[in-house]
Amino acid sequence: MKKNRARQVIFVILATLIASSSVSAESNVKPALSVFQDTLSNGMRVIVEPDRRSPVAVVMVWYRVGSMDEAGGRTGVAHVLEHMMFQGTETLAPGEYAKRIAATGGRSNAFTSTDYTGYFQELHSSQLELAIKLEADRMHNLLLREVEFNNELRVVMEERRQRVDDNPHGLLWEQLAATMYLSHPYRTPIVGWMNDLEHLTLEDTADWYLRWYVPNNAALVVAGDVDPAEVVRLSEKYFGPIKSRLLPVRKPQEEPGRLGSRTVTVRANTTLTSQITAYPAPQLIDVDADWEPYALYLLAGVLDGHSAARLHKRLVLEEGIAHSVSVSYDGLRRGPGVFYVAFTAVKDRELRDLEAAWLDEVVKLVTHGVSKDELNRVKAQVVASQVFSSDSVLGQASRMGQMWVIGFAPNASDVINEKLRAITPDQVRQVAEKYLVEHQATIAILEPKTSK
Amino acid sequence: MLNIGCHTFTSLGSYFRILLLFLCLHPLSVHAQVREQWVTEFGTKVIFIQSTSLPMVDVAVDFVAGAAFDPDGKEGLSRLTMHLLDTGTRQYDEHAIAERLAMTGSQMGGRFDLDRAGITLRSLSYEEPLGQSVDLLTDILANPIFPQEVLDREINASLVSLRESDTRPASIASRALHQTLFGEHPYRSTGEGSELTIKLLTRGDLVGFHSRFYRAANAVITIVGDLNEARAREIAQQVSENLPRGSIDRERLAANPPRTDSEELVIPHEAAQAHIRIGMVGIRRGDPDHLPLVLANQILGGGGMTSILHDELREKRGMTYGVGSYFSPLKDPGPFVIAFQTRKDQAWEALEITLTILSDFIRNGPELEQVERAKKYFTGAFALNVDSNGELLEYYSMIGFYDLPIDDIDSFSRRVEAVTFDQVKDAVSRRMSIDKTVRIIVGPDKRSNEPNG
Repeated sequence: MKKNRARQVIFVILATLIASSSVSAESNVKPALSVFQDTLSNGMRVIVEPDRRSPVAVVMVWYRVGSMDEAGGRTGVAHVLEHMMFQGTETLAPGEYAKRIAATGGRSNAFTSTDYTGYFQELHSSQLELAIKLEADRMHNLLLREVEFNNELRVVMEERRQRVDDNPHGLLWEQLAATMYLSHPYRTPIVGWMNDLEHLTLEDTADWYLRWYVPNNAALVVAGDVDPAEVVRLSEKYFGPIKSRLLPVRKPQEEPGRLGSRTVTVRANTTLTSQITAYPAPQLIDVDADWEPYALYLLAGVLDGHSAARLHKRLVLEEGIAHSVSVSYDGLRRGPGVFYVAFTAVKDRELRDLEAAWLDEVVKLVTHGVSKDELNRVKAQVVASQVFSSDSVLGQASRMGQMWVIGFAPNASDVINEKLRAITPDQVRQVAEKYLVEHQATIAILEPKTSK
Repeated sequence: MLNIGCHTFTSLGSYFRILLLFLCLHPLSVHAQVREQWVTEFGTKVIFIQSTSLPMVDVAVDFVAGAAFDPDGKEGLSRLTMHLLDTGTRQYDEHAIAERLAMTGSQMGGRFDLDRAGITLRSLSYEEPLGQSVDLLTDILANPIFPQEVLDREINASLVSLRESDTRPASIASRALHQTLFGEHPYRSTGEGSELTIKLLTRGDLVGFHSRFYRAANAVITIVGDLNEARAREIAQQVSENLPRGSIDRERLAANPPRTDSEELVIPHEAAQAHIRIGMVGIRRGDPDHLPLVLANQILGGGGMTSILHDELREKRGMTYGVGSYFSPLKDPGPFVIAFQTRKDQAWEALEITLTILSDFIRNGPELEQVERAKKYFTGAFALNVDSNGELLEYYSMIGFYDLPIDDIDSFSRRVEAVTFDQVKDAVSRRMSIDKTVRIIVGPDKRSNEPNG
């Protein structure tokens, strides 16, 4: 049933507490899992959420730096450094890091986003110290060597080919961002432009490491079968001695006002035509005082939050003109928010028909709003997915890390959930009217290359 | 429609360093409190695992009705039957089903492979949403009507997806591998069908497939979560008693003689990367060589960024973002596959390197120290692989479906420890052979013996 997948951009929800709600789950309140936090004297944040279901610990280190902090000509450097973090330190040979973790049956990996770079180990809770020790080691003892660097660059170029160059929708999203933003660094791809990768140097990477990989720009997030006091003790032991440094100044790089809509077309190896319409929207800044981001999130749910939601029902089920539909709101990030509406046309139907149907839906939304029942169905998804998402310890740790990156309390998602449930149908209507504005939109169209 | 994974739009939000693919073993229950199995009076096998730490319940209902059960000439039928279960019952149309499900906040999904077709339900454990969503689950499994207009729409959608997947080198490679490797065995199909077969499917075909395969005696129910055994028995009983009755004929799979030769298939494609698959016929579920071969695979191309293939292709040569290998054990011996992508102009060089590694590995076997490390990896990963209700459901539904002992998990570490170096070496030399491999190369135009790049 459509849309029960993890949404592409989730309004992260710390699943800890179910309170009663009009839509589901009467009473039966389960106690919230407590979140502990502390700050080391060097400025490093430590966040711990004990979850004793299994003898497993997830250890993550988050750095508040991602592709949005890159400068022109050096796109992709955040991600290349992430790869290099597995290539050895003063005490560990290249590849040794993964071997040490694997020797315990653990898993390790990392991820780079526009807003952050994160590293994680998922392992038996008896190995907590090993994970913290290794993370601290590579925070300040990384050895960047030419041979490994050149090799990893080739790996990253293969990664780019795989994710973007050979992936029509990868290309489409990349071109959308590059068109949507003129000055904000969200315009460049996380993996980097191929030409920038070809000219990236070891010095660029070393420079990035020295500037941003400092304890005062990092958080240790631990979830699972652990004792918070022990986590704090170990973090003081291993991260404590690392000196803080002044961080580079972050420029706001705000977008200039949009003077009209923009469109970009991507021709690629596909048989289907697709379109993404992206509307500028606010991001969540004040968890308690803001309401528009919550209304926008629910608006996305009304349109496409479940199988019976408006757009899927009309375009895919009833009229049969769309092969797929996807609506999402990304407002939990360091930079500006976006509301996305994406669809793929069925063969022989024009995007025009879909576009017209979508504009008609916007008029309906703005004129008639949404019904209480309709909104309650979306809220039911919110309530339930709050619980479902705590099934994964890694998921819990990730949510806390994301909250820290934006500057929120680690358990901000509890507040976010409460706020979501308080949104009224008219607030949803208001944000539709205010933000689904045609002349502010950026449209990216994917179409088949006519000749092979 | 019950979606089976695969969505068109993905954001570029986060770049995982390497895909967490190729996991092939799911040991051990850790936080389960009660574990029971029984068979309902209608012949449905049930496994119940109590886990009360979160107020949620997972239910899976699996049928012996996967792609291998498509009648000849009707490839795609089993998948479409499953996909359309929730598009109309005697009581509700597809919109009513979707709206009722949405009110509960529950999630329902389909899953489908060569052997199995199944539905999963995840609900809050409170009586109202749980009761309502189990009612819906029961209804769509027992009373689907497969409306003609929905079938027309979904046949069309399947054709659209099929044509699109024909442009994707990864899909082309997977399909070619199955076809080449399995010859006349039902595993030759991956279940999507072809333009030819899908177009001809009728409502009668779906109704017939449902009444023949979605029977109580052909179902396995797995329940995990925050409920007691009495409630689990009620749920299982409700689902089971409403399913079609009657005995079932599972004899579809014939023994497929392992390949006695090797074959190489080159399929030109315009993509920047070549997609390479090396396959051979592997093992069945419950195979006595299962553990030794899974250990061998861990050394050769398993997860953890420590395998020989990872080391040689990625760490030493920077030729790929990710390379891995896996055994996919099924009712009959399933495939063993090595898969990776690399820049097209170095495809042949990478293939030669991989084949050399594979043939050395088969001839010489692993080293003692590698086997010890792989054993440590699996015993250490023990807790990680079933540390959530979702993973418990996956694991126990597999155990139930393949009639494996429910307490297999309890002795897992002991059995891994007991595997000897000689057993691994012996299993590799008996069960793997470079002369029986199928190689699929999607990308380059033709074989080149001059490695370049």
